[in-house]
Amino acid sequence: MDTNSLIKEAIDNINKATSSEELESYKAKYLGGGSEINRYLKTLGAKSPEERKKHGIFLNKAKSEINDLLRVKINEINSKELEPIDISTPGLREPLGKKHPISVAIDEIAEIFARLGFIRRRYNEIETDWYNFEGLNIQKDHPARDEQETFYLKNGLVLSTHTSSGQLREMDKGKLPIRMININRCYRRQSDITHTPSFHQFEGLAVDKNISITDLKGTIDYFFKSFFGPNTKSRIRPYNFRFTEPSFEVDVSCTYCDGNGCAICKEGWLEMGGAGMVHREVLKNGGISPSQYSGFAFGVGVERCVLIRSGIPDLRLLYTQDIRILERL
Amino acid sequence: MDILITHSWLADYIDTTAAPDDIAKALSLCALSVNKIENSSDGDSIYHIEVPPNRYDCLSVFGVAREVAAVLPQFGFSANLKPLKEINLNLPTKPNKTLGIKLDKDLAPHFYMMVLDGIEVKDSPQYIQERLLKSGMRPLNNIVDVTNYIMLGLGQPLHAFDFDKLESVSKNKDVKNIILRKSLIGETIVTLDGVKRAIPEGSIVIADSKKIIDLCGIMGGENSAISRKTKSVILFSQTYDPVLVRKTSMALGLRTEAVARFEKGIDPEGVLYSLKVAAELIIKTANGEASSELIDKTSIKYQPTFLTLKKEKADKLIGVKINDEKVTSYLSLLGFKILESDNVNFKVEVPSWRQKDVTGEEDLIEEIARLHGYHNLPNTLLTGQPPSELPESKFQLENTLKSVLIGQGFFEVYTSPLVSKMEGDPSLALTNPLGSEFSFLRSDIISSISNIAKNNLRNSQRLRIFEQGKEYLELPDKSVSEEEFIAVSMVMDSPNRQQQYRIVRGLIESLFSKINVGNYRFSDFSEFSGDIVNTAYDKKTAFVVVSNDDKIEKSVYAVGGVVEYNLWSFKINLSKLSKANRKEYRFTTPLMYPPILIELSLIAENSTKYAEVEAEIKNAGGEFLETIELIEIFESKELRASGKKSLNVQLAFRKSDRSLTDTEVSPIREKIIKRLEKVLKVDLRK
Repeated sequence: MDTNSLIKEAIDNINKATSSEELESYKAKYLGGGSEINRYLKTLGAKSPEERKKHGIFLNKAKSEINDLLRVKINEINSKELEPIDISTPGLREPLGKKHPISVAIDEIAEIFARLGFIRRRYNEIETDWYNFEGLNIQKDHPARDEQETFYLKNGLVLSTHTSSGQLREMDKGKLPIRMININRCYRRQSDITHTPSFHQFEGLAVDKNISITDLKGTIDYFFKSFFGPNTKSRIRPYNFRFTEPSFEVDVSCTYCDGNGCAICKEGWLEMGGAGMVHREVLKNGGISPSQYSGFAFGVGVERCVLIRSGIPDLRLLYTQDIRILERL
Repeated sequence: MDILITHSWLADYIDTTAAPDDIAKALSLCALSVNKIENSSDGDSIYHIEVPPNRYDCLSVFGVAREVAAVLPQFGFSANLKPLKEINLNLPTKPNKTLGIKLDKDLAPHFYMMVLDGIEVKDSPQYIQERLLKSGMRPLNNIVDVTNYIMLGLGQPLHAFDFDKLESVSKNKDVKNIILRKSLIGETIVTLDGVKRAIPEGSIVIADSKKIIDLCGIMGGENSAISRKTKSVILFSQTYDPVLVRKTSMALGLRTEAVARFEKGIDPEGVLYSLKVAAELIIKTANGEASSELIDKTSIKYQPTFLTLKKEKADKLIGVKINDEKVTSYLSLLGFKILESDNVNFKVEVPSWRQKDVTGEEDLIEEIARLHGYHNLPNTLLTGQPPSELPESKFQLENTLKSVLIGQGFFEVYTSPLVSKMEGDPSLALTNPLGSEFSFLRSDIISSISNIAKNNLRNSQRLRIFEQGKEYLELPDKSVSEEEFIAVSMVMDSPNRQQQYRIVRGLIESLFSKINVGNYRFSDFSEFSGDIVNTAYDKKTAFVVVSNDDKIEKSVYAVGGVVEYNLWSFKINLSKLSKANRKEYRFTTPLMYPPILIELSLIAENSTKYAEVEAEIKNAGGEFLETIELIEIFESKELRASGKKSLNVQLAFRKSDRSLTDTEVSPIREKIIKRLEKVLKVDLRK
């Protein structure tokens, strides 16, 4: 039989086939290792290069056509043989894990500030008195230390009570301008319904020429709108911290009552953290001239952001060790 | 510090039409946080105000009134601060009481005192009692109440003693001498609250010739307290060295209203005035009269401070330009005197009650900005060049690893690194722990995660958890280190130990491959010294993953093993792993010709390691051997009885430019089988 009739026969047979078994047998017959087409292909080696090329191309093309046809027919027959499915059966799921809401928030905070050019840091948790207090204008015996509830280690080391300890670490690198977002674990010596001895904060620090209060306002407003939603409002109010002058408290409009006032907020506002313009002594301690440069800094609790956004009622749930609760966080 | 200010009392000092809500809002936005307005039963409003440490000038009703008068006009309300009334005390021409004092002037820079006679100690007038109660203080008697009333009203702590309880100098009971000095070692006092206290050395005290009568700035002594029988009262008004007062108070853990004011600051221009007001009120409520001179031991004269504000600097720091009229108005309302003003500068005098707080140009700028209202300032974003530095790569590395774990069904947990007791190095103990529960920094993250796993075995069928956190260590040179880890715990379904290990190892391999770390090996503990071996692991299963790169120092990337029956834990040292060489991804074309697969069922001695088998196969496999895969380790009773195991492996042979044929592969297969037999005594299963 010449190759043309062989190919025609193959196509006819496949078209007429009615079962998948039949198609399997044609596949072996026309395309299998011992098939006539393959045997013919092996004889091409003895022919002239032009002949070899001509026949080779022709036969390979025919083979791929037969192959395609087989696939179409197999699909056709299979779909007739299959039972219909019950769309209402539940899906089978591979169990997925979950990133902890604190981590989700930290990633998001880093991402939002990255859009504004802030570099993420995570400085050490064990700090010297200088970075946590003295260098931030909080001298020994100053009443401002009372509020810090500090854990001490020997050799005068402390567990960072705030992410502000990263301010001088960043300035020490000696590069200006600075846009830093230090997100880290902090420690305070207190444990009750609204405090865990270990918690997280994020600290923003910007130092450059001509940084103003309006820049601080704009930056934190951008963050809170990104994090809590575009309708969120933010404001700053006067406060006092040793390492900023002026200093502010930062509020956002309550996400529960949309700023109308409820049991969770104060007159429609939620206190989120502290902020201010970097104190000239701190700039000096960081080797930066306060007459040429200014800066802002702010610090906010990560857990507080998580609770407000998620409606998780108790801070301590975030530190749960019960997998049943963890799965629901 | 939180204070309570009653609206009716505030109205003594200020005229305004503003309602309590308006006052609270204006104060919160421009001066002090009003956390709450409480309505008292008599229809009064009580403001709960948070006073930051620098605003000591607001620790009184009058101080708050001063602020209210400054901020209300910014909200369209009229508000006038009433001038404080002048006091003219009738002092005796011939004093019948004499009080001498020897005083260390560094300890008490301002010091005034006087004696009042003919006192009738009784309950205070109703209005004083009510105001004290509404401010959170308990009324006692008209003398003590007046001192408290003046402290709350004007901010100056005062103290009253019973003159007759002091030791007399001679037989004349109308002449007494006292001394104000630093305390010596071992002195004690029974304070007004009835508690006997050992006085820290160097505290400021007042004593007569026999006893200490006052723990200055903190609390008086019981031995000289005002009682219902008191007829003659000594009244003190003064300032103390704030650091000394604070030190003593902290050492004793004794915080009082007086300490809170003395340690932060007192208006030096109000010390004498407060004494006069108190004396007048005592005379009025206790029918007394002045019976001594007004004794003035003040050693420093008030020196005002002057500051210069550069207008340009103010505009730059605030971010908007505030015109001169407004600046003048804001500063004047807050009690600053504008001495000079030109196109460039303002020169101002700081009011006496703000002297400790307002010391620099930025402080003045704050005063202007807050009165202008931060809420009235626009929001802007930073305009300069951002830093050119690239992000730190460690954060991406951590997140990649965590994503893989989450995709594999792991839940992330957060725990506290503060633990109750620490295994291993006890040097990282807190010197002031919070109970025994939070007394050490953990040196081993595996215990935390494994404990959580163990406690949840009942609650979860398929427990898979991880935590990112630190381990804290003291190094041999006494410095401390914190290293970042990801710790993982998982419960296995299969009871087969070998299978469990392969699952854990596979997970670690997936994690490392996702971050392109390739040059490492799994090893047992034998090549490491003891300190890496964690007591948490079952020794027979414990493994380490170490770097296999000549170019970097030998590092332990991970440690793991069985912690309990079918519970495995391991930790990955992120600090070390982040230093590993990470191969950059490069596309390579896959081999397109189909491989020839052969499967070998091998019987090996139990002691033979898979790695040895693999090495020999590689040895004999030649250039076409592409991969070796361990399909299964097969065990059976019979095999075990003969000390053997069966390994099913699949080998793939492939050539990049054409298909291999069976005839090419079968001699290689034979060669491999012979080699295994010869070197490892491994046979094909029959």
